Amino acid sequence: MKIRKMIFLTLFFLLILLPGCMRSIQLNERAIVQAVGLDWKDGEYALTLQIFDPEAAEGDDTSGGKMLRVEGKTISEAMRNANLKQGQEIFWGHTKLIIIGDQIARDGIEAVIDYFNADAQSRPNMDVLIADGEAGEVLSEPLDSTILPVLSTKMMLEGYQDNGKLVRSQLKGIAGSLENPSVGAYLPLAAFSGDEKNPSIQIVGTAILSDGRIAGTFSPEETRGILWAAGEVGKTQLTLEDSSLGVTTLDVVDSDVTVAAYIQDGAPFYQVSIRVKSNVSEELSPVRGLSLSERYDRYEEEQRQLVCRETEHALERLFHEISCDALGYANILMQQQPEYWKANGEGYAASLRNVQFSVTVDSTINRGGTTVS
Amino acid sequence: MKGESAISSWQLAVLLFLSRVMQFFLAAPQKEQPGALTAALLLPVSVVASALLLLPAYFLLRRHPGKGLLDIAGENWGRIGVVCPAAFFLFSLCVLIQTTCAFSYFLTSVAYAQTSPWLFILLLLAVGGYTASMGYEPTARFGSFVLVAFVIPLLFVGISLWPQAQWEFLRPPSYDGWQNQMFLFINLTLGNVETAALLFLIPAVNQNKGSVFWKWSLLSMVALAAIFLFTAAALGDYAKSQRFPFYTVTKIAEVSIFQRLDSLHVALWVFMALVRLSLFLEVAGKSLARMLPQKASKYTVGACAVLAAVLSGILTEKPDVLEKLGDLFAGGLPALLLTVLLPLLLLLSCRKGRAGR
Repeated sequence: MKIRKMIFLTLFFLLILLPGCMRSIQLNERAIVQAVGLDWKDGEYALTLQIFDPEAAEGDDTSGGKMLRVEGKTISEAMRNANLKQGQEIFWGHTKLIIIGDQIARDGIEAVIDYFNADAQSRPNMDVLIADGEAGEVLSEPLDSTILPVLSTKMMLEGYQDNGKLVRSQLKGIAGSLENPSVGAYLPLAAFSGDEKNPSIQIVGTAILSDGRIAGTFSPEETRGILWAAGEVGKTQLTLEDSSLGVTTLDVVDSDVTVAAYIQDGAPFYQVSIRVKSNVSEELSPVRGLSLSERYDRYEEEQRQLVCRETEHALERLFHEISCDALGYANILMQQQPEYWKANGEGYAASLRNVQFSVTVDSTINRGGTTVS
Repeated sequence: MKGESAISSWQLAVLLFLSRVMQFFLAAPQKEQPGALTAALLLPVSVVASALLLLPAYFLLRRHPGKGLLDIAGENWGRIGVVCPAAFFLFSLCVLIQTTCAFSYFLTSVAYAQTSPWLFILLLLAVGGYTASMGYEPTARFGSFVLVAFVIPLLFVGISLWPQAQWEFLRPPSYDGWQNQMFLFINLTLGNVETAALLFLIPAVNQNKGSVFWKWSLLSMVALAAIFLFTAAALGDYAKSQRFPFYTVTKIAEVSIFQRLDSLHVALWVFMALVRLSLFLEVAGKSLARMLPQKASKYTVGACAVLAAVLSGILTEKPDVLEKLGDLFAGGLPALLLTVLLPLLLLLSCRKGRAGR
């Protein structure tokens, strides 16, 4: 029995010598990429990598990131050059942001998306942005302040989103849109603010991608229309300006969208129904003589008109001007009108200018505990 | 405890369930595959069809309580009865090769790209062989733990992805066309290799044997429908670009600080793969034992593990052969021969023998 115990203990301690079957990579041997910018310059890819640097993060006045710029004929070659230059293995597992330069966006982003999509380490929910200019320039500037610069960039993006000026776009959504030729995609358009005292990334609009290439852009103000139509408005603020009512700020607390697809006169017809519920957060110089209930009735109507106008404008531009189903309504058409889709699905992208739509808005203002619609 | 100890109906149902679900984790998407909604709706139909197809086996086993198909074949067909264990052995060996190759391919694709598949093949079959050699009962107990460990992360995935789910990605069944629907139906019904394991292991169940099929089917139906629908709704067209869509689902499922739990899921799937391998190693080992002298029966599970490892190692370099093998099983012919035709022939020969007497 004693011998057995001895053998067991010996074998047990021998396990210490067997920590794993594969070669392990220590943390200091890895370059943890937080964000990457990709540009196409002089016939080759130029990558700007924002790398987490724990040693730099220890100091008080330095940032936790360092920049690495590499070039290569392909992204893989650029990455190999990055490995050689950095002396560390590039690790994509914690990358949160991809910024694609406008040149690549014009030529087609498919190769870039494919590269990250095929990489086993990458996260499918990385944010993807299009740079209004060079991606390297946009990415390099917010490095000076925080331990994890990419987190402050992400917080900034969330702030824009809360204000209805940004559509979040992730790798999986864009890769999915590239798999389906009937639909496009929308991505935030980012630029360097240019302010030397307070450098930061600015969102300057939304890029619409059709077949992997930029087909048009929306201004930040127009972007909210896309958000309404996509049902992605979270908690935003609406400012109503009316000569008879003054200026009023509404906090949108809840909203969603339902899209129904019909066939009308042989072409797809989308019925977009938006439901929006808000609180009145501020009223400037309200008209005297109107009761609270009357004012709120007017606000509801104003809100309805505003949302309707913004959504119709966005749909008009997407379908009839840019001719791109960036909202993915084709999936709804396929689901609700399968027979039509079987017969006409292949020609859908080419016939987007014939698509008709109508927008209805159910507008509600919360009234201090009792909701009257 | 080693040997032939009995297991409960729930324990066998859980083993079969884990083995079946495992198969779908490694399922590859195709551009024109039928939709998830069609698959989810066909699941209950395939259960009813499976129940009908298993009727000959049900009547046969009811007529011979406590005996398995191999015993009945031996009694009725004499020397020719060796066809029965030979068929089960070949069937199980093919399932073992498919599972090992698919899982080692999965691991070398998503986690350990620079590692030889041989390493995973040897490790999986060594541990699977050891588990199988312990007998039904330890495997069944192991399966119960794996079930709990499987359900909790699956619920987490469901809860975290519910807000992101885009149900418009679910295609109506009418879109798929009857040919695709029929292929999917055959795949779900006859591509279900666990049916063979069910018929083989049912004599080991101590009571309520008839309920194993329904318990297993109920568990599988709920879990597979959830996996199909959530994968389609969470990934949409993105699933088409993914080699292992459900693995991708685990990559994007996150709640608060709980992110990138895919490595946890992969660890869990290793356990599920072990359940599947040990289940079919038992079937293969016991079938082989029937064809060899009594003395050799102790070593048959080990021998099957070694054989499966060697063949998997060779075939892992030959994806075209593996694809043909996969198509053969998906077409349902092997399962049809083993779980319908063989019991039917045995049943007829039993009746003939009885009439002759």
